[in-house]
Amino acid sequence: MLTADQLNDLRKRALANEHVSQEEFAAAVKQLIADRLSSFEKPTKTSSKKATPVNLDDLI
Amino acid sequence: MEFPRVISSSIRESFSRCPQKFYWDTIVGLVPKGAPSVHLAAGSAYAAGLEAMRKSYYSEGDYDKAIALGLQALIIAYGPHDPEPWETKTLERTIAAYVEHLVQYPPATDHIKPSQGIGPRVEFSFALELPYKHPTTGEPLLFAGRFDQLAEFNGALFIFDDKTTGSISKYWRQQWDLRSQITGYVCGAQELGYNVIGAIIRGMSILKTKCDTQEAITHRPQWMIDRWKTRLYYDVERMLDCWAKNYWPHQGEENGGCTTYGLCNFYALCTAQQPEHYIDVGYDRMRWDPIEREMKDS
Repeated sequence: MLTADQLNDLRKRALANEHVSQEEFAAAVKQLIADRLSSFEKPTKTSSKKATPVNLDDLI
Repeated sequence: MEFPRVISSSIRESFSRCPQKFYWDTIVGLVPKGAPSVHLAAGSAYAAGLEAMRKSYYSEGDYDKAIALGLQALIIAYGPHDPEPWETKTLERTIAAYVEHLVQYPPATDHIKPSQGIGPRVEFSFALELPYKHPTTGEPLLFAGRFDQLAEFNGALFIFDDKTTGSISKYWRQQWDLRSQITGYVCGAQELGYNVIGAIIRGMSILKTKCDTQEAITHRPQWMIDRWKTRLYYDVERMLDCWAKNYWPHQGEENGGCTTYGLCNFYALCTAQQPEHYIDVGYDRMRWDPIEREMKDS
């Protein structure tokens, strides 16, 4: 997981014209892509609450 | 005061919305002081990232290099400004949109690719000579445009443009079917000899917790292009007429345009009896150059 601090550091150095290697930029993008792809794999949250069966006769 | 030598879609849109707004932003050349609009900053940065990535990938084929150059271009284009905390389009979310594009449309398998000329036709520009003369220099007026790709899809040529938005509305696709900007791009490419049949618009919605994408394919038959040209000439004639009379109607007062897209940048001037007193306090003297694609001193 790429942290906000890591991203800000990258930004700071890029804007200050400090040397940031292509490998570093590429690694950041790949990490972000991996984070995004892992969200596809997470199962959908299901509620632990089950519906309570209702006796239809009680509704009439 | 200066009449534009080049008319672009955004200049024309400004005039259509309100000639007085056009007077302030294009004729006088004013932009509000302070940080640029976050929507503009995020949209430009996203476009810069994709442009750098595509140019590199579709000419050299090196994925790692392309995605790196894209991120670098995006960060530099976004600049040092941080938006207000309640704004969505932060640098982090703009990068998330760039990443979402790479996930949804990896360049190796993207169904839309730039056509190839000397290199990939990414960031394609055109200029058309209009049958009108500049009111002070006498040179022909130009209509110019620039779009993201002259793209190939299913063996045909299309204009391709990326658009960022907040959320993708119910009629997001339909909005492109009549959009004058797109018709102008198709006309421009056709007049340069490219057999373009329509446009593909790829939308990216940048939200706080997710990004969504959608694509619209829209066609432009000849009758629609002819209609667009008639309207363009009509608008240019009205611009020249306003210049000749030095009268710029406050159209926003009639159509609610002063608050349609947030508060108009020139609200403070139009609500003042003597607007010239407020210019130097609230505005920088700059105007957009549609050919150079940058702000210049006015």
